[in-house]
Amino acid sequence: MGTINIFENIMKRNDEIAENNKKIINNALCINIMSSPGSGKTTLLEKSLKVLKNNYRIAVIEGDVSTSNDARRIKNVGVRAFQIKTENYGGGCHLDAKMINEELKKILKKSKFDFIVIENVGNLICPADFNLGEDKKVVVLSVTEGEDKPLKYPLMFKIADLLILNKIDLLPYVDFNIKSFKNNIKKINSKLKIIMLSAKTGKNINDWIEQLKLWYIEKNKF
Amino acid sequence: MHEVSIAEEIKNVVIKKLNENNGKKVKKIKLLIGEMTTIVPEALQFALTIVSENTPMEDCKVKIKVLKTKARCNLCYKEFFIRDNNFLCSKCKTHEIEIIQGREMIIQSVEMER
Ligand SMILES: Nc1nc2c(ncn2[C@@H]2O[C@H](COP(=O)(O)OP(=O)(O)OP(=O)(O)O)[C@@H](O)[C@H]2O)c(=O)[nH]1
Ligand SMILES: [Mg+2]
Ligand SMILES: [Zn+2]
Ligand SMILES: [Zn+2]
Repeated sequence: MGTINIFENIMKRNDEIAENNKKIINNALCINIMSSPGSGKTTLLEKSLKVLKNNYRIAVIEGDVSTSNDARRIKNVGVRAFQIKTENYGGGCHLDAKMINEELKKILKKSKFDFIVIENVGNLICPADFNLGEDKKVVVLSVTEGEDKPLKYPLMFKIADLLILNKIDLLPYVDFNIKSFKNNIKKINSKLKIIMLSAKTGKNINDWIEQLKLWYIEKNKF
Repeated sequence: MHEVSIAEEIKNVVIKKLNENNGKKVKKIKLLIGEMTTIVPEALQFALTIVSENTPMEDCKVKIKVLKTKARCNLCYKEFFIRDNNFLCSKCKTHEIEIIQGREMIIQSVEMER
């Protein structure tokens, strides 16, 4: 019998691969978009990348359990899209650094990109624990989900660099109190920037596009 | 659901340590899991029994210690536990705080038969 102390971080391997991803991503700006299923991630990307693609080279990595619908939707607006099916990795309510690493190696072998956009699996919980090597984490919440979501899943809102409140065109029809929503966010992450928009109608979507450009410039200014 | 992939990762690390130390069987594993992770301890326990089947880890005891979320104020240096998602200093009420505990996912120790 013997006890050995290891004190090893369970996420060590994931984090090491994430660091490697950062190197591969290099000057491109990589964002990881997370939300519950159906908050409007793909719609947001369809609408905004259609505009952004005129001036930037963009690749989208779609994470889904078993379908390729989202990648197809992105391709339909003329943007390169790559699908990861997490079931091929033995399950998958989230993307991990390894999956992204394998995809990046394929994608970046032949082409260069300015933006690498990752749409994570629709799930507000465990993607929060897995670093992918991204520059920015974006969480999307839609007004139909209720203003108390941040209190139920605080970690996601704590680690996010930007919060998109989507589907504001539905505000007249749902019980969503913007003021208490903002209070809830303030409790958890007082510095979190919020953009309220409608991916459907396009209202305020320009704020999001400008934010992406700004991040790109910030990363590449030196 | 993601506890299974975490359990797989734990298994890989533990089995590697077992082999490095010429161990035969894992008797007990101690884990430290922060409250501010997405891991549900009971679900992790269960996932570990599943992934341990037919491995030297089968039937090993798993002890999970949950570490409460703790922060330090950058202005008054007070250390305090976060309650009810209130990420602000309990003394001076500022948001200028740093999380110092609660994000851990650590394999602390492994007890084995040689
Ligand atoms: N009213 C309204 N509906 C929207 C808006 N954005 C998205 N939707 C609708 O919400 C549904 C889900 O949108 P998706 O873009 O597929 O959501 P998603 O987050 O990509 O979903 P998953 O990838 O399955 O997690 C679709 O029916 C969209 O048309 C919006 O701003 N307003
Ligand atoms: Mg989608
Ligand atoms: Zn998961
Ligand atoms: Zn203080």
